[in-house]
Amino acid sequence: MTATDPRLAAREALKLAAERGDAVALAAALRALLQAGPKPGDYAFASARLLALDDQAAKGAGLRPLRVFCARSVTVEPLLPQLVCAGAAAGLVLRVEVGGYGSFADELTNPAGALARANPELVLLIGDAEDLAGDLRPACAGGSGEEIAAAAEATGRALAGLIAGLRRHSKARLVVQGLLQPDRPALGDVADANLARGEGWAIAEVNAALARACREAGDAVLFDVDRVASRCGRARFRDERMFRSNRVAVSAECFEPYTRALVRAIRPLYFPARKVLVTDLDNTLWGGIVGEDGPDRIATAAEFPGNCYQEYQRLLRELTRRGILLAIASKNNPPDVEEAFARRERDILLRLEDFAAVQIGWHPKSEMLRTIAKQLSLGLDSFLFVDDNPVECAEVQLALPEVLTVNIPAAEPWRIAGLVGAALEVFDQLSITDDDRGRVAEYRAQKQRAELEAGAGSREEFLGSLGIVCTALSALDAPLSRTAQLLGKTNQFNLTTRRHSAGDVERMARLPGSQAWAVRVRDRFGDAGVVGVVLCTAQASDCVIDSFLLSCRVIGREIEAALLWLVGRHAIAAGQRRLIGEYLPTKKNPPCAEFYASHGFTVVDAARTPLGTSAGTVYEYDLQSGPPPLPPWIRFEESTP
Amino acid sequence: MSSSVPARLSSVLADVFGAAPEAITLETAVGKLEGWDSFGHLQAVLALESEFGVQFDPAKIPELTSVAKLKAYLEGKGVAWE
Repeated sequence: MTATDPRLAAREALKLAAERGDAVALAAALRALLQAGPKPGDYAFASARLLALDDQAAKGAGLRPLRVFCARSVTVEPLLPQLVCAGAAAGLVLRVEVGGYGSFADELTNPAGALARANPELVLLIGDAEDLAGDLRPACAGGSGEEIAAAAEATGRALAGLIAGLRRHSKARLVVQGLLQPDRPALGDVADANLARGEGWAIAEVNAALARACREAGDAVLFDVDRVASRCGRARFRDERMFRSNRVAVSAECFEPYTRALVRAIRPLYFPARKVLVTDLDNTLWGGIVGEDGPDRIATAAEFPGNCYQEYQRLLRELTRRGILLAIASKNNPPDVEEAFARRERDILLRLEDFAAVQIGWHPKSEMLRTIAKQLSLGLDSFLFVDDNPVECAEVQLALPEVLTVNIPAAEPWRIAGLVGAALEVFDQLSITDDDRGRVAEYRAQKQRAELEAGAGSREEFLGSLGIVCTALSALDAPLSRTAQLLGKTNQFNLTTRRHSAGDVERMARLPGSQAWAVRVRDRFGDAGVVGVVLCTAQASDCVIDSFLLSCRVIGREIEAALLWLVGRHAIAAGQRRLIGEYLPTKKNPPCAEFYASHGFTVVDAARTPLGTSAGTVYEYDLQSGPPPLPPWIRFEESTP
Repeated sequence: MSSSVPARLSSVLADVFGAAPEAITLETAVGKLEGWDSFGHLQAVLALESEFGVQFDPAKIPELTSVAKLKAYLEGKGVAWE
């Protein structure tokens, strides 16, 4: 009997799936192939079959097709098969058209050029410092701080000009590859490190200018290629032979980490970040088993091996600072765990209160995760789960494939922080807002509200006692990055799930008679921050609600009714006579399916509205007798428009 | 020296050029297969380097325009076919 090579098995599965046109099986086979350690030919084989799928089939397999234009100064073609495979592993089908070597500046800035004609959804700018910043190195070689600063400034300005030029004619999302640090700086290692300004400084300055230009352009991200190169080793990252002869700027052995990192930069433009890290306790958060070893003998201390666990605890504590929620799923007796956190308070860098949800007991882990998801009102697809036990991990993977599971080795605690750190790319987001930073405190307040509700007589009494205040802000000043973030990641209470970009919101807000609101919510327990967005356009005498969404952590307080009241009032002031609402069903948004019907709207034929047609259900609300009512327990403030 | 295309060679080229392995013969050359253009050529060279653990001389790469020439070049680098 011959053992089956998993690589060949995955190839065969991929081939069969492609012949049958089965996109779901194809995507699964591709994942298996990537795990089995593919050869270069396998990438070409897989990418050709993936790209042969039509858009409809790709969508059916949960893959999002994207028209991509790659403006470049170097040879990217040999990398494309791996880029396509890495993209598919992240849920994207990247259909890449490549520009000319010397024409990237024209392509980016010319509104009638090749890029504009291709009408891409995503633009990549991939260049080498030799082509993009040719004056920089010669300027650095003399070691004059003034000359270096002037060259860095001029280069940064020229490249920022390309980005701004693209934005003037295209709303495509953009990924700009930054400049690589030289392996051997012009002034030598010692001078470059010690002078106030050297080549290293200049490259960092230009990259900072690129990042700034991306922030200003919106829907744009800097791809820090130097980070990948330093991880791979700069000398290994470039194959001088292939670069000088064929302008291939990345060595073939680094195609895989390079394309994966490029996709990592693309991903936050299209997919929401995960939100919750659920950790096991025994042999994960600390060493040993608390129920057997006792709270005094579990390993968590400044000395080895306890410091390996402290390193992991430190990582988790860092995550809470930017709003990632922590939770515990552990098979233990609750008093043992409570005792451990109390007696080892000085040695464990987290307190039990730092965890937004805690499941300690003897249920299967998948069940614990389901309970946590319910408690936090978050989808399981926003969860990352860390456990040392391969059986628990397999149980979760099988029962809840949408949860990302990280199996850490119990015998090698020094690897925990590194392995979890490598998986943290699923928490990547383009901006960290005040709302993110306040999220952990907000969930703590949520727990207190739940306790109050349990003791209150009626729902109205409870809601009245919260002292809810909503503040209406312009969606452009929420800030706009928060508005875009909510549009990009809200799944459950989202009536239409239109993933508008920041640029789309700006354009919509400028239309006459339109409304673009963001709402901030606070109560006596805390400030939930900006948690809702409504976008409406004026069409004839109707106010058409294009987007209506609310973060799930404020659901159940009728904030959504208050938002309808706000929109209705402004529509009346603008002389509009009807509110038109639309519900477009997705896998995630059944919680808001009955929203319009339960707030006084009636179903209407789409043909009798400015929408004309709809893939969902269309509703109308007659404004003649006033806007939908404001719940009596909500006070509404409007900031100056 | 065998006169057919060794399977390890034909399977890499078939993958890269998007062709069936049977379509790769010693006479197959640049321009005769849809996927074998200048970028396909470069991609094939990189794939062959990885498959056989050899490095091509960049000056020679443009001259290796047929399967027969690629095979002979690899043999010159010490690659032995099973």
